[in-house]
Amino acid sequence: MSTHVHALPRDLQRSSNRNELFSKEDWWAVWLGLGLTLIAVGLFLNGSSLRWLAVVPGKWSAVPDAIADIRASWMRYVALFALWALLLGAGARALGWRLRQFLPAFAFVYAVSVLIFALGQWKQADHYNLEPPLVALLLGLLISNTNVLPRWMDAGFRVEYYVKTGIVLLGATLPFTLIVWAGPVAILQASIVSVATFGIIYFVATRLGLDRRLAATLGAGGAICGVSGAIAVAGAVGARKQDAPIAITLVIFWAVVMIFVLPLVARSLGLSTGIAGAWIGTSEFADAAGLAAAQTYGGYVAHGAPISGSPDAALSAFTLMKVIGRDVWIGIWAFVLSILATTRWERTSADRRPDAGEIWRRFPKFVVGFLLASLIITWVTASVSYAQFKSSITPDLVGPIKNLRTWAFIFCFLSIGLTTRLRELATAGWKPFWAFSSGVLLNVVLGFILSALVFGAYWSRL
Amino acid sequence: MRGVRLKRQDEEAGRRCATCRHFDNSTATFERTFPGLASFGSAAASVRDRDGICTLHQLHLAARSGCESHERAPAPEQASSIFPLPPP
Repeated sequence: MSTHVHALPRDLQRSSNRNELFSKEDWWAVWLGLGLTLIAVGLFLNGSSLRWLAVVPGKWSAVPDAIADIRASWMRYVALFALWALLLGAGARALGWRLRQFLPAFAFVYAVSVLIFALGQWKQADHYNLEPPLVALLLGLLISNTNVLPRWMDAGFRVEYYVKTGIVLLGATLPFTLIVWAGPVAILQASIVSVATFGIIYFVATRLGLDRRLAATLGAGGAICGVSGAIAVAGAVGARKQDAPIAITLVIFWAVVMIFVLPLVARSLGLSTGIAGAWIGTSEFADAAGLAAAQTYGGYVAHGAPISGSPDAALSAFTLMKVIGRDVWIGIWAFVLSILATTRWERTSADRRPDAGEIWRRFPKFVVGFLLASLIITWVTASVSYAQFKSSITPDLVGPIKNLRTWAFIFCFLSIGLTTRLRELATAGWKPFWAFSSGVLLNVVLGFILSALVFGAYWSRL
Repeated sequence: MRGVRLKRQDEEAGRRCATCRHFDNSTATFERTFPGLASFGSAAASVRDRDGICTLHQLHLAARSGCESHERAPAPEQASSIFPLPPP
């Protein structure tokens, strides 16, 4: 009997380690993002390109022009759908979602994304604030909250799956030298904000009489990584089942508000794209929400708004701040808080021994793909002159990857709206609301001071 | 609530939530239990590790937690809570 009792957990553990490479969304984002990057590099080195496949709608002034543009490239759009369906479908199958549900739902996401992308290419889009992330989010919210789609279609509305794949592809468009140059500042700035925000939320929550595990879950949601931070810490500290949903409701509420508010405020303050991206990276809670805000701000510049900096600088600064500065520390937060929960806090019915392995187990693995993709492209382009980069690398290698990344992000932004059913969210209550909101306020103010004043010169050079 | 600490001998004896019949960590259950999770997160994310829900104590626990109420789950091939199956 004792042999059996000893053997089972070890078997489970081995099985878990083996399966994680194919049973976790993060790893699938790595395989898909790196796979596409390697295909693009392989084609480029053999004198070809992914350009034909990575189609995007052209700029237009009148609706007939837009229709003609899409009609002229209809085969490319079909081929691109087939590529995404094949790759994302393979991952979806391995993750346990049924293909007969995932594929029709993804076809819907793709078709609507084509329309949203095309609308964003309208030359008057900026005038009416029709940036694709905002349109995708609002349209998705409208659809999901009017219950016009069957519930099984949720199988294809995978926000995190799409955003992580997009972030790995984003890595392929960022020089590794930039990550090395800006990474330490991002880590320093993000650490200051994260510690301060967690501290204020935890302090206010416990002073209001909330349970310490709920306070930590709220703090992680506001300070580290939104919903992901909240569920990681809730599990690590052994929170009550109802704690994480409270944090999820508050994260969604504030994240959606910030998607609309931060780009508008940054624009009214005339912030450069680098500074605005860093501010959004410090002040938004969720990767997907922050990317929507940062891409919206970059879109203002792309449409000719008088803002300094390149459109991509907003995305780059956001990603460095959020992914490198905040997301990678989630395992350490969970580990440290699990020690506090088991040694200092009141006990619950269950208990555990904290172990440092938690730091890697909870590590957001898509960051590995982001860094590797950046290293691959940096290595391939290391000996290329600036002129060659502009004439060859940008249109034939980096450009197509950037287009694929943009598609992945639009799938994500639309899926945010399609999965946010306001009536189904848990009721948060006023005490958690005030505790969380105190952190939001600090996040935004401190994030602005650090991004625009303390490190402003640094971020504006991005 | 004052509970019972996970003792080393409990841990060595495999009395962890991962092997308990009260522990459910399937992605489908996780997303059903936490409304809104899929909007900005995912039950299939690495950050969740193998956390799940204790249906006995109504706690959100790591798979390595444990307690004296541990009851061994059926063999792995029958235990959908330990090896998640595709959602119905």
